[in-house]
Amino acid sequence: MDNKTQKNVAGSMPPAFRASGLAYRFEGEDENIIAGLDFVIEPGSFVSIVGPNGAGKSTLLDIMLGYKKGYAGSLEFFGRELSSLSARELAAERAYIPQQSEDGLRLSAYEYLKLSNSDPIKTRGEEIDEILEKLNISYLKDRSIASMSGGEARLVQLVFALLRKPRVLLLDEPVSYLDYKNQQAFFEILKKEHAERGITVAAILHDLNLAAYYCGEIILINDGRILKQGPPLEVLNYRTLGSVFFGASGFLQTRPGPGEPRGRVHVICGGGSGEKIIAMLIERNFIVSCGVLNAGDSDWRFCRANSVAMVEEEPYRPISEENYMKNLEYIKASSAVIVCDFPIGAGNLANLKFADELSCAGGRNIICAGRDFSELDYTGGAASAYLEKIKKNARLFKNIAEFEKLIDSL
Amino acid sequence: MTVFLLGAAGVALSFSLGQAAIPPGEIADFLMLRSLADGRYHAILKMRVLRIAAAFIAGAGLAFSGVVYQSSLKNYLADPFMLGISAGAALFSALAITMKFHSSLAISAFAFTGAILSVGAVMAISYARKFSSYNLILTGIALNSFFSSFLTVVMYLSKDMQNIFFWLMGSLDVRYADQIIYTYLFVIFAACYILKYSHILDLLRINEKTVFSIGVDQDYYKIKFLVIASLMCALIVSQTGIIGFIGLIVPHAARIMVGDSHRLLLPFSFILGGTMLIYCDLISRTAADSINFPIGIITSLVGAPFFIFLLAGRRKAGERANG
Repeated sequence: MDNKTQKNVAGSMPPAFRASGLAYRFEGEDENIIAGLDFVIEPGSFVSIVGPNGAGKSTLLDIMLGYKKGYAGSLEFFGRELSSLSARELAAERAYIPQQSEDGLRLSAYEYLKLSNSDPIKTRGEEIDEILEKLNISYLKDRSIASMSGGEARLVQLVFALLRKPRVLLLDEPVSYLDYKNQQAFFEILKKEHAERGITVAAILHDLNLAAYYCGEIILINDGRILKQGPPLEVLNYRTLGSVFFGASGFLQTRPGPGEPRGRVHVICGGGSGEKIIAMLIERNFIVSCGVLNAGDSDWRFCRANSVAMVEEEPYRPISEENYMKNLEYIKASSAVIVCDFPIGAGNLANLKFADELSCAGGRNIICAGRDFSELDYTGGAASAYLEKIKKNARLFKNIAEFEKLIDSL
Repeated sequence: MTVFLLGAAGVALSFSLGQAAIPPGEIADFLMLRSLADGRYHAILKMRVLRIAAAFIAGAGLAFSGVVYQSSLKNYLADPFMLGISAGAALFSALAITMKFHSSLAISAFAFTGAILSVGAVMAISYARKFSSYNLILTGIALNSFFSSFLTVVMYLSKDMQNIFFWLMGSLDVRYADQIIYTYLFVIFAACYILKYSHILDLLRINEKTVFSIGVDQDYYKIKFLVIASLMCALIVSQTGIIGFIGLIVPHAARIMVGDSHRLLLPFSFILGGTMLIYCDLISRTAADSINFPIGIITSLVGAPFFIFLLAGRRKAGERANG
């Protein structure tokens, strides 16, 4: 919360929004839906507000819109307290695209767009033609909104907002109901207009990939508080998101950090024990492989989502000889092997058999979870025997912090 | 265009048909203000002029205010009676009849007062809380049923149940030309006034926050439109009694035919409503010898199937249904 990105040139222009201690409570409720937010949105930035359902995103946007009044704390809009501005003063500066589309509205696009004409903004007919032409959607002009596809209707709403020539554009989940192609089309236009006209954009987004791809900055909200604000790569990582969106296990995108790729690492895991470890390795630019994993396993899904190379086994099947050999290839090709603490049964016991080959694996780093595996051993001792062997040759870690130190020394 | 032709045909038919059929030549003479060959026809035609005029303006006004109600309340199931106009008018006219006011003007005055009181109450109660369509409609429903129960009590205790009943079912028997002229003046003036703001009605139909974002004070216009439409509607109801369904289905039909743009929708509904009621009146006078069916029954009998027909056609056309 303290790392406000100060791109502002010597503070010459006040920020589009500056919130300090911003709080909001619904009438008749005890708890604040928004509990003391501090953030700055600089003019010309492209910011997305993300967070799980019920986090207070929409309420925050409604406050920024001026629609929900009676907030506590302060929210400045270009240097002036938002609550002191009239609806018309606000209308001259900012536009809005709601979550809902204008479903079933039997107005032509032109008739609808003409409605954006309101004091003090005047929309002329030629302007509508111009912008429709520029965006290559002139063919929509005389079509009824009710007959348009979801994507087309959304674009018309975007044009409506742009015709207001806003300095700030607020969007509430603008593409949630669109397919991928239309989401992209919408954002490409938005991004272009943002760049050309220097519009400040603040959008609530559900799709974190979209947020990461298009937005310069992300505000992550949970339980009415800001968890983190900053560039996408800083905000959208397993540490901040994992607990917010998915509880302990989640499959979200992890990206390699800056710098040269480091060595190859093979991870042996299962049941979600590997996620954080793999994510950390990816971020540190290791080339990660993983296996053997049964398809559908939560670690398997995580690897899938992050394009980690892995040896896969059919769901609920014991590891085949063939896959065991494949896994061994990966292990031999890696400079380090990491063994996580996962439950071991007859089906995946083969994952530990590489212990037999240790003698010929001279010089290879082995890192193993340091916990007592006896309660994870469902093989009647076979697994523990293998683990004894492995641990003897391995460096051990008790928790993720210790693990972090170990891999930094690799 | 078709609606205009239909309207003209309806007017012509209404002149000639009825308990006494009148030859077209005589009607033409009458309309040209020439003296008629048969003197008896003159009186009948004079009555029919008033009746047709009343039917047109009642239908037109109800349909017009129906559109205004639907768009202001953002609810296509709304009709002008939703906020208590009919219930208030019915209760007060029943009271007037029970209290032995026999002049139709007195009953109209009572009905008008009742209509305005009830719709005023609904709006005041919702305004005190939050002036949302949701609140308005719910309050309207509550008040409607409250007044209806009151009406039942009055009817139960009254010795003039028959008369009250007749009033409730609506009638286009208007006696005085003045009455119609004043109604025309008011309804047309109010309609023109609202037509001037047709773009605001378009706005009220679209997303509320979007409208907020462009700085338009929706509550102000909502109140203004509802008040004018209510006055219009109360004025009509006070003279004709309760003619249901026109205010609901004509706006719907008009939307299906010309779309949601109020610049077209409002005048179109006006004419369609008037035409529709002329035909309903024609049916009420000609369906059976020697009896005039109450007009309110005919509008429902004709309106409901017509409406279902329209909906079915729309489904077939594959349009995305809404409301």
